[in-house]
Amino acid sequence: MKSFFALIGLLVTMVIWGFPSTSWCADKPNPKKIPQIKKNMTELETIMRAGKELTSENEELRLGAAKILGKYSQSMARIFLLKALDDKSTRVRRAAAISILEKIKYIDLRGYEKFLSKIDDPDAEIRRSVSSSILYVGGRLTRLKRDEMLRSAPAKGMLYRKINRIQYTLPASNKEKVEAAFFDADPIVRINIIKSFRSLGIKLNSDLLERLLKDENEKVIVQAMKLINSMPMNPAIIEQLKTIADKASVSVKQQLALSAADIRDKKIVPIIEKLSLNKDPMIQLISNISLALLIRPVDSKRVKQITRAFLDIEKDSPVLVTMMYKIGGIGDKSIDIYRELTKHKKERLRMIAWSMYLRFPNILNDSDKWMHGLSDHSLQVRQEIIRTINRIKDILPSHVLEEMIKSPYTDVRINVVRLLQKFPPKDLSQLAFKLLIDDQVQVRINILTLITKRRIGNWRRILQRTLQDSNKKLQDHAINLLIQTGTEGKKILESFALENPDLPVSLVLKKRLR
Amino acid sequence: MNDDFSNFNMGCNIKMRVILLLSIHILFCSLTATAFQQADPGSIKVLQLISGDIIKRHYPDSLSTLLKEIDEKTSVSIDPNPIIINSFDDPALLRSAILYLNFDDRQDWNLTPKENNSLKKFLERGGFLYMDAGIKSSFLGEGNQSGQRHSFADWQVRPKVKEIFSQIFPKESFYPIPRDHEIFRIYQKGVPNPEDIPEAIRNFVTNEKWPQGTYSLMGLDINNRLAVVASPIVGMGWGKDETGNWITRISFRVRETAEGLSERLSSAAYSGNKFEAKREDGRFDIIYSQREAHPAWVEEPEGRWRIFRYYHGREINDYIHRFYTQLGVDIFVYGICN
Repeated sequence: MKSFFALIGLLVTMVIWGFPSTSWCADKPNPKKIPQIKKNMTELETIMRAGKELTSENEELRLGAAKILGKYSQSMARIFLLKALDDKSTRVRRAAAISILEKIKYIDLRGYEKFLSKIDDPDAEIRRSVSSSILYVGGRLTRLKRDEMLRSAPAKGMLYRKINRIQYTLPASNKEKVEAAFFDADPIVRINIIKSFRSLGIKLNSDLLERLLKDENEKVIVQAMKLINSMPMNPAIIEQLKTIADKASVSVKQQLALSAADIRDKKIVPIIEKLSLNKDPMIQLISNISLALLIRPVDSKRVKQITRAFLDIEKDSPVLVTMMYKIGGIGDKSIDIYRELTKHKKERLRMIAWSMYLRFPNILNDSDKWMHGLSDHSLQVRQEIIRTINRIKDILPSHVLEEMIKSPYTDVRINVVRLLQKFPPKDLSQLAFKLLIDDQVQVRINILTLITKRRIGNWRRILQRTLQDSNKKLQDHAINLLIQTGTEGKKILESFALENPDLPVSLVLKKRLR
Repeated sequence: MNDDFSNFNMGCNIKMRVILLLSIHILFCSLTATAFQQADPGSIKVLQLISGDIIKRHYPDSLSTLLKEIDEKTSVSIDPNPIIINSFDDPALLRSAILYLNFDDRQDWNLTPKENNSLKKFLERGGFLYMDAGIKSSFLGEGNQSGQRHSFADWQVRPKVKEIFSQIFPKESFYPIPRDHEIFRIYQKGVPNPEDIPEAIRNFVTNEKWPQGTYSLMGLDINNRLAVVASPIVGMGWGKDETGNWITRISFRVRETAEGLSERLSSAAYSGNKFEAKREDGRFDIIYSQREAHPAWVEEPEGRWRIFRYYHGREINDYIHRFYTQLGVDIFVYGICN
């Protein structure tokens, strides 16, 4: 009887999802493809057979069945797998958990709640699988909840706008289990939960944070430390942070100094001041930046310390990148730091320093303060400077652009064309001319495009002349631009081909215009 | 034995990626042999071939992340910014010693005579070419999407790779690089410490999938020197974002069995097709795939059937990335030193 209902359920699902079709995924003919000789079972038959085998006394049969069911996205396969999560054999439960994860994108709300309830399974690997799934599914639980309610809304007479305000909340039993998982015996489970609990609507409190900061595993403490900026600093947490600042390893201390940069509570200052005396240059640097963010006004000594320390660390790391951006929060004095850091040995840090430095008022108006950056040996740095200019300033003065046109770097000259996009037409001609005689084809191509797009000066004549250019790429580009302009451009091309029948380009034109 | 599956191909923030790709596009337009001369003197420059549409380039952050890793972790001083060339006849090729390419970053693989000559010269005068995704199993289909998301150990180069090199070096042919080759241990040896990965798959990973930290690589010798290396896609496991997080999420693909599973699989329904994949010993596995070119199970030559199981998780993702990065470092360091 059960099987009969299962069959009906599956048929309904198949109608909703569509029947499997081999043509759906058919590839182009491939010599390696092997012709199918034997007639296999249908999906339904395979699922039902595996479902039946899950009730066998033979553990190996149940194990194989749990593995096979992971290959099918039909809801019936999932129903069997969710049931297998209660199997007495750890191996079968593990296999079922991995199979569910393989098709997790098809899971519905009730199915996921059942899966999540296994976060207290006695086996650590199952708990790892379940806790890692929160990261993938947690974010869509609210949508799944709303979808479920929408399906029943007409019957219950609920208003859609009310449904759209509903947020997912964990059932009490699961909430209790997830909260307990913060203190799971396995550190990977604890880390997974710390990283994803918010998507389940679970709130952090001071007691919980304090306990997490006391974890025996340093990786867990590092994760927990990332939460300290979201909680008020109560005496117990401060005490725990003091202990960490005294006794923890370099990586944990580093994370503490880093997290302090997001805390606006001065109670943490003595702890960070102590860290700023640490022997590790990275901890010193991060602590000094965090202190500069916490204590105002920032004294000049600290500004010098930060600048010196940054320049002395000849590394490029994600932490340094983060700190580089944090410096912006120091206020006016950060301009001095950023200016100096445009000389950093590491390219990425120079890029960030330039992009931050150029944002200060009046820097861009004085080209003496930044023009030398366009001579940086790194293409990335030069590109970053130009991108920042483009974002901040609509138009640069002519004399600045003329200076840029003299750059020995092709990329700088190419980007002058970008900066000319919004330039007034009357002043554009002079600069455009200089770029039209550039020795790099790409520069000429770009300026040709610009003057055509904006119909600058004698753009028709310039394009016409380019048709006779010795460079084929330029010729082709001029043809394309003229064709794109429509009837007018086509007429120019036709008359050019008539007037110059012997030129090879005219043959190309005749073909293109046909 | 076989490798992994990326279920998060290009990171989560598509807008950011488009912005990044556009900026790379500008870089592409401007980078020429002139730019090559402008780079920092003293450090090794790696060339990267990207032909065609730069916007569709695969794993844009991967090579620069790997080169940065080499620069920071080894004594090799290497420029983290690869020099982009769009064809083998770029003059920069003959001034460089190492070239990387992702096979799917070029659509038209009919090389011009000029390109053939230039590539031949490059390899004959000591150049090293690493062709990532130069191996791609036929079950991954004709398009390049699945080939970029599954690193499946098929011990044969793509037919097109074979064709290109048989024209340039008719007397040489690709061979499986043996597990005891120096390339697998020139910088790092063995697999990363597997203690964090699930116990259930630890044995398979360390003994069958990546024995002694090796991988399915095919090599081509020129003048008795390993000059060309082809692999299934490995670059998917290199890229880090600005904050140091891995960009892709990769899962383990593990072959598993259970009592009676062979019989069950031999009659089970599958929605895709079945294909052959060459094994290291020269025999063939028959791969049964699901939709989306998803390998579901395998019929092995000795008659055993095993199911492909996919293991996810942060610790697994991290482990795979660490291994791919280690492998990438080894291949590049070998290419530079030899």
